[in-house]
Amino acid sequence: MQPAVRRTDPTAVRHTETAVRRTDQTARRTDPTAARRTGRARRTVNHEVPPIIIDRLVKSYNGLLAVRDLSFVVQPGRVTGFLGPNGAGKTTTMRILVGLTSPTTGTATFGDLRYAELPHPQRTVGCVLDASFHPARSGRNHLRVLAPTAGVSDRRIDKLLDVVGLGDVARRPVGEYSTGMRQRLALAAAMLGNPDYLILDEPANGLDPEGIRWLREFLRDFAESGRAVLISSHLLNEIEATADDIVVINKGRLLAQMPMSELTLGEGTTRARVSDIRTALHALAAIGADVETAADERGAFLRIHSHDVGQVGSVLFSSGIAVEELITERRDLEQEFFSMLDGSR
Amino acid sequence: MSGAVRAELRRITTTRLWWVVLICIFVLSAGYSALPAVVALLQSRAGDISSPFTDPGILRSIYNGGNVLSRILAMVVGIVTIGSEYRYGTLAWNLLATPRRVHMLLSKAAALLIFGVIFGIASVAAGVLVATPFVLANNGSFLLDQLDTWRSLILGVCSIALWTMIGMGLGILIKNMLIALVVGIVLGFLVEPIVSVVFFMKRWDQLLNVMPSGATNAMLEITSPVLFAAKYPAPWWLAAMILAAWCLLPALAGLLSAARRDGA
Repeated sequence: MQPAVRRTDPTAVRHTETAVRRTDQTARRTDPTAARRTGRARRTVNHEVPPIIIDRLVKSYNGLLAVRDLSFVVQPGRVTGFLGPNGAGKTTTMRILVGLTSPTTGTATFGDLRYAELPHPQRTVGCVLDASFHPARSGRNHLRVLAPTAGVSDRRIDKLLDVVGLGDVARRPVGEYSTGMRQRLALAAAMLGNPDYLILDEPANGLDPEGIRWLREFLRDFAESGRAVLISSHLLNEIEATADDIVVINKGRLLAQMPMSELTLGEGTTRARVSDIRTALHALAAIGADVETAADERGAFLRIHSHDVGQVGSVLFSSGIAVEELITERRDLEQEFFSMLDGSR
Repeated sequence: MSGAVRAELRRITTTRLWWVVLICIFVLSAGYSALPAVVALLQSRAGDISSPFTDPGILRSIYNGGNVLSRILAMVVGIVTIGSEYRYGTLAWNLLATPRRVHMLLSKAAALLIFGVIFGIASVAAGVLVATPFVLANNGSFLLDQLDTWRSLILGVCSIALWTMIGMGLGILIKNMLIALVVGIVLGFLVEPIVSVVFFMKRWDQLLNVMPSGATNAMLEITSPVLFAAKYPAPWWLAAMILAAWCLLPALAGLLSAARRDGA
């Protein structure tokens, strides 16, 4: 039995798009700053985008388990960061999701449908796995090769190349492109069919800081229009500013799935490097602070389990202690991540 | 035409290989077709044969003179078309666009077959072009009013198209493009001819008929002992089927091993 696909008439989508563009223009006339914020050609999807469902996924290569009983959900309208160290099983999971690798057991579906069951795969899912291209083919021709199955015109290709900033080099062979340019081309290829889902495996690799900023904004806009983004990375600060949700895996196993907001709100600590550690300990103990001594390559310091730098500073000042360094140690994603990995051992 | 086939056609047209090979095939076929024409001319001057350019056997060997070389070049295109995808890791793009592997490969085969036909036409056209001055200057005939001549021309085109498919099969079987190229060229230019000579000397016609070059000769109805053709060749339709089997065997073996390994 074929499950019903919740997808509306594409012409209906186009109507909404024009409607949105019209409101954009009105907004531009009245409020220039608002127009700048929404100026990017944001598309609103008026059909419901079902979530990506990874369900009890197992993949074994000759008895070695790359993915073990992995289940999680990628919600539409949000950017989901897929985190884990190299070799955690991120790429395998993504390859299974888009049908490039077959799972041993379990399923990975877009709503109810596997990738191979999608009526128009390129118009539903955009995917950047590794930016591999034939070096002699031009960037533009790479997209032209993908166009007949996606059902798009050369004009859309040229527009997309401009959007990703490759308009000037579109007719140069890809062999002359930098890694960052290849990533942009791969992203253009993924966006070719104006899909509802974006699956990106380590897209920030090789991108310059400006490119990363651009990608972040691009993905935010994409998700805000009601579509779903799954983006993997082994670098956490890369994801931190982009993702709404995170899924952390290690050794093919799920460690955590949570909204990003819950992760970064963890209690911070304060680092104080002082001339007289003993006196400082007494002074801080007097106000009931939870203090421990620690050391790094610069010597011993105090770690106070409070992020109220002002309070710590005033206590040290009133005790007449010279302060060499006073800094908030934010409990960040990196720390959180590594403590999760530690727990999994 | 389905989108998948159009995509595969664009994959071929967006790199240089196809037209480089097309030019090579045309030029080299012209050269290779001139050989039997000149030999026939010299023999007629020496009085060995009278009016060579009305003899269907001689004309067919001129028309299809480029076949022996063109088919190897066509095979090279087949190998490179699939091999470069493995080499540069680009097969994932095809599979994302056409998720069903068999559908994708059939589309690729269809696109390659179209180019194989173009290569075949270039080779045979060069042969006919070379034959023209010889026929006109020697009061001969193109024999284009005879069905047999047309069959020979069309089968010449088809055989080259089938060799493109043999290349694709080899490319699927041997994932490393460079090794596949070396194997293909060594087999096509060295091993296969030597084995054919041995079979020819031993008069093992049945074995000769199942060799790729033997099957091609049978398809073209070349009976010249100079080309080590079998004395009793298989009928052309059987020879065509044998050649088609040579395309399918390596392709199927490659697909089975790929399915076992579960790689893209």
